[in-house]
Amino acid sequence: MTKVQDKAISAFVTDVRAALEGQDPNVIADLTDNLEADLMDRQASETDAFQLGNPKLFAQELLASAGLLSVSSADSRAMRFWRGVGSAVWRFLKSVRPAWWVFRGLMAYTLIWFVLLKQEKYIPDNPGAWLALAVMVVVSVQIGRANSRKLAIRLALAVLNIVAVLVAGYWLVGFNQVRDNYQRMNVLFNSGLLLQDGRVVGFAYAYDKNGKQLPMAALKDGNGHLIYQPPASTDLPPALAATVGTALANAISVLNKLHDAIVEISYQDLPEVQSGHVASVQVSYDALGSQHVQLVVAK
Amino acid sequence: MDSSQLLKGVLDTAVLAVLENEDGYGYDIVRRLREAGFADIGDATVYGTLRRLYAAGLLKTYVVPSEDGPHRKYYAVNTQGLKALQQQRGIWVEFATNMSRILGTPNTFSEGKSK
Repeated sequence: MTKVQDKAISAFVTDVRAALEGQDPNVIADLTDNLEADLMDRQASETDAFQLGNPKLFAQELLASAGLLSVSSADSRAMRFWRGVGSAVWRFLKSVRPAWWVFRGLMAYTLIWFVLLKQEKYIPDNPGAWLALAVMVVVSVQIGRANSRKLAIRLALAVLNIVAVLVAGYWLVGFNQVRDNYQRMNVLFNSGLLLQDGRVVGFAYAYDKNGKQLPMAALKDGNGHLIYQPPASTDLPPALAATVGTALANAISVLNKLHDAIVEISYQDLPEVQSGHVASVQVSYDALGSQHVQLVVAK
Repeated sequence: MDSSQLLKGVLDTAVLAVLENEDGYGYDIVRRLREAGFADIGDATVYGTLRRLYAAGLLKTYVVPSEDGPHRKYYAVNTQGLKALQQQRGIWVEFATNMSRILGTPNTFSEGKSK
């Protein structure tokens, strides 16, 4: 061995030690104390083929095989963290694949219904539609379970999945519209009004077989749920009736207690509001069941 | 399949086996592994493995002075290491027998036992 080669080995070992900087000094000593002698042996054994290589990679290999790479560098720690996150996400997605297969069946059902029958159907509403949906779901699940390795099938499946995602966007928009409509209908139902063929029924009256109107407190469905509450009596509440002839301020204090009432005040020949006396009061109800109070104020 | 990936899983066992009959120093152990057929094994991989096995209490070390060069740190398998090697030998035989059965290749372990 020559002096030049010895120097190269010494320099290499110095570089390896530098690359291990940050490790426990005892660990560095354990890993490199005999390294120079070992490299010299290798040099003697390999002669012309001997190459020292990259000291940083050598140090990484030392740490990895010694089981110490996890505390060696921030880079590898960060990479391992993101690899762990990616792996966890992938495992989660794999575990929910059956749910995607079922949803894909629903998308196929929506698409076929739209293409073949030119109808937008988001949720089945009859036995035939439910059967069609069941068939689509079964086919989609079976394709997913088959998990074919053939490239052509995998490519076709990728295209179908993309189509399913696009249909999902369309489906969600449509479904939201349906849901919004439902919510609007719900509001109307909760307002105590009936719907007849989609139209709001403002009032309902009961008649006997002779055509004579019957007094009616409320309409209830078969389950006992209130579906229509007749408007309250339009008779003037005593407290409001008592305000006639009194100062407007007095009427306003009474009106403030009627939280849901819509108050309309009209002034007769009065230059200023908030003055004068109550000339008359009337109560009425609109189609949505809201109470209106009409107040006429005069000098 | 890359044999270096397989070797990573059994390198501890291979190093312990190499040291079972004769103590050795760093490059000496690398050379013995290469002669045993693991021609591509990196020396840094072996040195790191030696350090790990030593830290795990499976190896002991001693220094042999040298007149014409640096002193040598020799590695030897201790009692704990021999126990571990025996256990790993059993695991390997079972694993290799199962793989041979799956692959339909001759089972040298079973044949050797029956002789």
